Amino acid sequence: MVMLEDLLVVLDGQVPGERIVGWIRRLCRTSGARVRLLVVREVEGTVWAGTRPVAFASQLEDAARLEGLAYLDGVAGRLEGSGIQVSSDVRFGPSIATVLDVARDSRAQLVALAASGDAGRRDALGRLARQLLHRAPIAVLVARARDQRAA
Amino acid sequence: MRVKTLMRTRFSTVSDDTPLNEARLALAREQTDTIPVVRAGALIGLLRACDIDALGPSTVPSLATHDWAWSSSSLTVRAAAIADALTLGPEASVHDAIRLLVSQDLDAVPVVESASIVGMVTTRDLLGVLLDRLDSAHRTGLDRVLVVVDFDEGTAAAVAAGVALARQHRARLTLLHVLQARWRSLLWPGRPREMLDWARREERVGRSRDLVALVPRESGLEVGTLIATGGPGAAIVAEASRLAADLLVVGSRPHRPFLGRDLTNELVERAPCPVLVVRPGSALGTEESVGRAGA
Repeated sequence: MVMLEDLLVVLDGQVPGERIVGWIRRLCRTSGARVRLLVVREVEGTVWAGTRPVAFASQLEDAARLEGLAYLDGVAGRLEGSGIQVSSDVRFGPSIATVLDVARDSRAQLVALAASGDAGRRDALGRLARQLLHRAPIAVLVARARDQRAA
Repeated sequence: MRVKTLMRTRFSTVSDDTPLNEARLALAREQTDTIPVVRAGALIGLLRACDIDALGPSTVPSLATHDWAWSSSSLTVRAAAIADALTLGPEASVHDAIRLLVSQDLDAVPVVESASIVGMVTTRDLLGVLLDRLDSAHRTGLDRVLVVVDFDEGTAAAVAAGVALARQHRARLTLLHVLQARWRSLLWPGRPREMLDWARREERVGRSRDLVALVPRESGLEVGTLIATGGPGAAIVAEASRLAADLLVVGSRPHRPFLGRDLTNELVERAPCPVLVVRPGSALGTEESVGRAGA
């Protein structure tokens, strides 16, 4: 029987997006799965004041990485309490390509996220969820960040 | 639960001689309302966004014009920080943390060990604990898995994943197929109503038989089959709600925007539970013990 062993969970750093965490805990209850938490940030650009660089891209990325890891620490603790093995990752780049790269590298069987769009809006899914549904070569689990019961 | 199991161990700090403008930027960058103030590595206070605002220009526009420009002031963190901030030890309980945050009207409290700050506990972290407690009041695992079967190229993968998850969770598995009766009426215009009813009954019986054949009897699962009629999206969402499904499983299908609204997107947007979209050939979509799905 195919068991869920490696899952990739994409978070956006917002509380509504954490709706997926409760479902992941339920899904992994009996499987002893490994979960990788991922936050994808846009690539930072160097900040210039005239011709003088005020902050280099690498510095901004370091700060954003620390911030992302601090956020994921809190989420990881909630899953680890349920006996799930968790790792955290912060990447920079275009969101869909980065998520697919991490999924491939980590040999994930499933990528999960909470769709960030608002019900009733034209783009009720959010761009990342929509693109993953059509482009991911693996299974995609999508909860809604709003207007859906919690796990 | 102890504070050490939920505190954040990565956090920013400011020193007491940091200009207030920079401290305000640090708070915004960290998306927090409270940041610890340190001197030579030791905690000496807390800086809150509301304390910075209190030192800024008046919030009354007519009075604010007479205030010194806030950004040009030479104030440092020392002027706004709360000295002698209360702290917690790593072994303190969550109950202690909540009591301290409420009594002191704080959004975060530092965790200190041997005079060094080792973590921060925020209201957000505590909300996470509360969310977990509320979640754990529900039954863990999955109780009912609903698989959408449309007998196209994604069906085998959806059924395989549904069977695997139902086994893993000892969940009830329901296979759902939606008959689109309206289309048949359009295809057979002018036929007697009895003939249409007969055709629908025959189709319903045939599809029920096909559904039963998808999961072998020896699977040991509690399997139910269901035939619904109507628009696929609305019918599937209605059945998922009625059955209180924990998970809706569908096979991925080619994106055909010219055929109208994408069913997968519609289900994700409207389903009462998360939707698992399984691609044929993916690890989760292959199951040797599952019968032929493309009947």
